[in-house]
Amino acid sequence: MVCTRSKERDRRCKLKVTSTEKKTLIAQQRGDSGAAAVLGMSCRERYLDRDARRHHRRLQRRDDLEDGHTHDNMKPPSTALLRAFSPLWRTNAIPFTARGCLAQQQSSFSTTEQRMARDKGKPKTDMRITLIRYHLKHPLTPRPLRFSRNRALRHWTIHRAWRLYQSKLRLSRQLELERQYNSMASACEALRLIDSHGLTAEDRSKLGEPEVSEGGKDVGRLYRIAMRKDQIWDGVPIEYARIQTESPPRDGWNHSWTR
Amino acid sequence: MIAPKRLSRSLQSVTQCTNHERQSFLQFTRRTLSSTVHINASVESASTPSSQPPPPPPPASTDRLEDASSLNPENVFTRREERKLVRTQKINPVSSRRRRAALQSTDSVPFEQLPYQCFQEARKILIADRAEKIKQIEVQRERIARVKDNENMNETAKKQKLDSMNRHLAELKIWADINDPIVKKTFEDGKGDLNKPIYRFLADRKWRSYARKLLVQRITQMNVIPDILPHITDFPTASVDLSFGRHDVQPGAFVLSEISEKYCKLNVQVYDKGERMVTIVVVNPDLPNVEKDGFDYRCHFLAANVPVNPTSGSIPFSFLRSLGSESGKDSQVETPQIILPYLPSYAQKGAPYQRMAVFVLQQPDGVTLDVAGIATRAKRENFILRSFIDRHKLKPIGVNMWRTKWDDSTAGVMERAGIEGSDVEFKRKKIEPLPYKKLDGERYR
Repeated sequence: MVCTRSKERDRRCKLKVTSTEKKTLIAQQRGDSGAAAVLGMSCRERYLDRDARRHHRRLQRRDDLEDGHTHDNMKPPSTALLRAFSPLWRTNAIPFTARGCLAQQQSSFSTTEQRMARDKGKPKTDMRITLIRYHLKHPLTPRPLRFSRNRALRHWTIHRAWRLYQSKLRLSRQLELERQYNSMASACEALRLIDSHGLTAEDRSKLGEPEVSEGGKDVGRLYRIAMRKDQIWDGVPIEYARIQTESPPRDGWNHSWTR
Repeated sequence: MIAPKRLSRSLQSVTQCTNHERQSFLQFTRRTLSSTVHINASVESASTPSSQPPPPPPPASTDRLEDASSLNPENVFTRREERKLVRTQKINPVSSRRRRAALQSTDSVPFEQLPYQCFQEARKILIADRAEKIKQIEVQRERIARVKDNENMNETAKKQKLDSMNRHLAELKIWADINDPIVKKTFEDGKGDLNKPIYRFLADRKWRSYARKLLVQRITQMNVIPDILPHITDFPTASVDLSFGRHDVQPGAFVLSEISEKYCKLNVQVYDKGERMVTIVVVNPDLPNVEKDGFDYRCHFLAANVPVNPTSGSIPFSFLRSLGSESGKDSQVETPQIILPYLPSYAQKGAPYQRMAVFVLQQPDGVTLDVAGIATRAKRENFILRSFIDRHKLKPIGVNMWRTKWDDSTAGVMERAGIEGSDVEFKRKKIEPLPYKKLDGERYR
């Protein structure tokens, strides 16, 4: 009976211990180990969370009442992380210039009021700040470039020249497309005014031919044939065609589409 | 194995600074090197004097033993020489040590000729672009001249066309110089000539990027706009820096009475070309009026016909000409400028803080205000700036403000200025609360 209960206790405490590993990290961030020392907790108790601590104390009290020796069925928390974080085992001599680097997060990131009633007095670390510092300080992150005055000016000059060149290129492409479009449009317009003999109304009057109204089936026949859009995509209008692109569409995903 | 070690690095060990460790190590090593040098020197000097006659003095051309007066603050780059320079000549070396050391070994090449290929190619593109813009400027100038000479055009249409053409010409002038790195450098060093349009443009852009935003925020938060002047689009257009003697005042800051008593100075920076006359007004909109249970306006300073141009905008109030100070010269009678002399700002005890707003108003082209005439009519009490502007057709271009409240020096300031009431204290009137009628709980749960 006692064995199974202790095994159950073991299991529960083990589970609790793994979650406290994370909390140990946060506690270290918060500098809670000092607070724990002030509260007079034992080394073992410090690395347990509230429920496990209560349980541990209850066990100790029961043991003291019964036998006088401490109950050792519970496994102590794993010291893997302790080795990494305990100041006793790894002292880093930080130069005074690096004081600010180890400063703990105290003030909250946003200016709205924090609800502190639940976790009393514990400054909550902001995971966003932690993540930013992690990625900035990671050894595989390239360090930020710092340019001297002349170097920065050269960089700026090259940047301005490149941007100017790119905009000129874009403008010339746009103008070329416009020129092509206008040329096509004027060609179509000329075609619209031509009859089956290749004469415009002006030419006809010059040559003395009889006048033909513009609406007649002769004038602009080829233009109308050119403007026909059937059998291009075999029933599917060309506007529905969209080439596969890497970037998403401008209109996004239509969530309210129905058949 | 380096790779597995890095992968297993935990969060906290990564966020520790490695740069500082590296730097401190280097400093440590440097310290030991220099300390060994000193030790050797002292050992040598200790050994020589007793045994032999002193060695002949070393030749003057050695690097180490330079004459202290020959040390150049722009050239020293060893710590020993720097310390020597500071000790003997009492001046600090000029810029960073790295730069000073680098300058010894490099030739001084002018910036445009620096031998970096990409940079030179970029310069070629920008030079070609500048040449194009200059051509466009000439073409535009010819066009403007042609439109001006055109007599068959409607007058209003002509004016409109000329306005837009001139605006385009100004734009072209900016576009020609905006890509020049030398212009950028000169401006950043504060050496730009504000008579040139490009430097005015850059200065205006810099002002608008932060200082103007701050000023507008303060002006609107403190309700200077719309209490004194209504909201006007594109106001302010000129930057006004306020200072009292040595003390520079941030917009909206509290200023002690004894500081704001004397040496008030404005630095007005206009960003469009040309000289113009401005009027300066200092208004206090928070004068408590007990009878009407409200506040009145009061004018603390009024001056007109102050010339301002882009290169000169410093206006100390004491340098302005007051009435009755006309010089007796026959050739030139200098027009007086001050209509109402400066009254120091003060707030009596118990009164809330009072805002003091400085307005800079541009007079119409070529118009000089009749200072003597205005002085006969102008009053400090109930001075309404809106009416003043409408009467003289002024255009507000600049603004700044500070705040006063009762402090230990206010009584002294008031006495020196001959103002009564330094012993008056304002107290809040006790208001009888309305009888509380308890409403039925049904509706107001």
